Amino acid sequence: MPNYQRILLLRTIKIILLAVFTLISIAPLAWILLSSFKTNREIMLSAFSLPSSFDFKGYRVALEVSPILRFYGNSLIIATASTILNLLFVSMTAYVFARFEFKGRALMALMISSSLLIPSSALLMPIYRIMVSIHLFDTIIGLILVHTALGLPTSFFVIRSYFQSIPKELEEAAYIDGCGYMKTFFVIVLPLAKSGLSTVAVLQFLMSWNEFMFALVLTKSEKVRTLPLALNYFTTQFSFNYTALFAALTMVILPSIIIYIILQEQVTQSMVTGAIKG
Amino acid sequence: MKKVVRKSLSMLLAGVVCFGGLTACSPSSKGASGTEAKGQEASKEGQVEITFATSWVGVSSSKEWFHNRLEAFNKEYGSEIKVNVEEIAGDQAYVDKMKVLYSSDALPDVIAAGGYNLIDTMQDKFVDLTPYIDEEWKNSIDEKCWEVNSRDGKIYGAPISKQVIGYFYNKDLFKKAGIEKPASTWEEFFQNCDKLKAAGITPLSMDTADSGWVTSLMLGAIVGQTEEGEKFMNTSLPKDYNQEYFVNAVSDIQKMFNEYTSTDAIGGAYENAAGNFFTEQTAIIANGPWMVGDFYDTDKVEEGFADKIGVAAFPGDVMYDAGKIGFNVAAKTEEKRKAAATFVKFMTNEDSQKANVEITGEIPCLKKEVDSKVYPLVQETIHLANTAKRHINDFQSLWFANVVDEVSVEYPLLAQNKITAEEFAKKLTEAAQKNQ
Repeated sequence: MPNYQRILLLRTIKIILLAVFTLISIAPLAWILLSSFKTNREIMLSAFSLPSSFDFKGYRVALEVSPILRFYGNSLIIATASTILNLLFVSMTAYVFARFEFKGRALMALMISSSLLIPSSALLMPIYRIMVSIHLFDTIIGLILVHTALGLPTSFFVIRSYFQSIPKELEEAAYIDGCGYMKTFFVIVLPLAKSGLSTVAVLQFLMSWNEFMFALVLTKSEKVRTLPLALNYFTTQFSFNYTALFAALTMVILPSIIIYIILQEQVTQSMVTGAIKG
Repeated sequence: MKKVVRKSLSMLLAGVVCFGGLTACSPSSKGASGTEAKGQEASKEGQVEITFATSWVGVSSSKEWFHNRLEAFNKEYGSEIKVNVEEIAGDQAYVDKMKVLYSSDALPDVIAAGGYNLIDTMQDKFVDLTPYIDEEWKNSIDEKCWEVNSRDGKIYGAPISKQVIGYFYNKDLFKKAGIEKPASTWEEFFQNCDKLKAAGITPLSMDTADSGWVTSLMLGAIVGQTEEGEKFMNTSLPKDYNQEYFVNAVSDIQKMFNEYTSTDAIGGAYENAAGNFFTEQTAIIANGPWMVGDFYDTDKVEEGFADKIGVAAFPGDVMYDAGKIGFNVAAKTEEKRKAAATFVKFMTNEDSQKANVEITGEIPCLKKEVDSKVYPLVQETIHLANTAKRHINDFQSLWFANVVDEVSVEYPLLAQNKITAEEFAKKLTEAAQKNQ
């Protein structure tokens, strides 16, 4: 086969594959968006048909039926704050674990990582009791702390690997130039770990944004509750409103998509780095 | 260009965060229902505060009724009792949260799990209501409704409605298939299914998820066609499902899955089954009269759909006609218990039950007939229950919670012929016997 034909063939396969993956990624989102404009009857008759008209009734009903705007605000505050706190705490911890030798390091790292294996349902009751006893039950701060902690093992795992991939010589050069420990960490190391931190930020934000069970158990009033709970307002055992549910879903997934679009380059870069350095 | 896009997105996100923050922090923000705002008002001197957790929110058919009755309660007792309402959207989420609160000894003062039987798992934390129920209250409610809410002679729940269920059928589709009237025996029922199938109509709406409510109603009705089956379907917490009549009924359900239902039945929940019936893709669905309101909702059904629908007793003249788990009280102090009992009594009194049947289609559990304006299909369902030969109770009220969960696991396997009817019965028995 001539060279140009082979290149053309490879390019065609590449385009087809990309098109398929794009379709697989976009189709569910497009389906949710289109369904939010259909009536319940249209959705029940055919899940894949196009809406007969584009009216925003579903969005109006979604706002009327559930306190979605308030939950939206709570979710943004909690997810953003827990992401910032998680990044701050975990990056400092992971840096120490990646750079310094000390007694019990391996055991402590193992303990943090192994907490990934504890099912969250097993944590529900103890965390509930702790939150009540320290008067953080039904507070935004309480949820922020719990979400921050829930994401700790995953974030630690990713960031530690990333720190290990940064050459030590850069820090040594900084020390020689008179940088202190804190300055070296915040001014030299953290900017270099931007990709790893972005990955963790995306993972942590999405975890907090989608977390349901703790948000349900650790709250009792609308002033604290988060978006995943709002989705339950549209289906009960014997009643449902699909149109409003899809409208609410559209509103819920929007920030996640925006966050990912903003940080996608760093995430991809970090994944590649992680793959090489392990 | 790329930078501009990213900057714009960042700005947008920042805007959303600020907007969200403002919304969340706004002191004047009020709950969708407005209930929370009422509950958050400072309590007055001498007022007893009680907490009530409810799933009657969002699209729940009981939401309107609840707000109506809460408002009436506040008018009458507002100066003495303050009800702090916690809204928990979603029936399963409600039960899950109650389980965690039960384990932490932090149940709300009043609970209404919408028919889920929490009494047998949480009995030690529930208050025996017997001392709070006066003669007038006791005598006004149908005895079988007290029975379902009682254990060892103690009353743990105040009933609000009865579980009256037959099945709905589409008269137009029946006519198209040449069926003149609903079947009086199961043999005839399956013949009708064959006729519907021959006319290109899927006969039955079925489901497997969330305990396979619609399917399990059919199962219970088949079991309840004989005397011993009827007895089984009125037995609280049965532990042995390896009975011939039960296995035979499961075989019939397997046949229904294989031949007479839609492909989305496997894995589908109530809403899939209901959706198929609303869009006239299936001809029969087993469910209670609370569904009737949806027959008039033109967002879900075609104009005039309700006129096409009939209601029938299950073959063998079997009707679900039993008490339903009502309000439970878990208050810890005597003062709160009294206040909770007053609240519960008000929410289940004649006016409340009358409003309930008119708004939601839930059948009252009062001894005397209430004069209420209800849909004709609801009236017909009540009549069928009053004249039925056999009266049974539903599985959600009677069976152990883990058996109800097991049903959802086993139905898909049964539908795909991966297990036999005998194995299905064995699995339920094993699950039931895990309970002490």
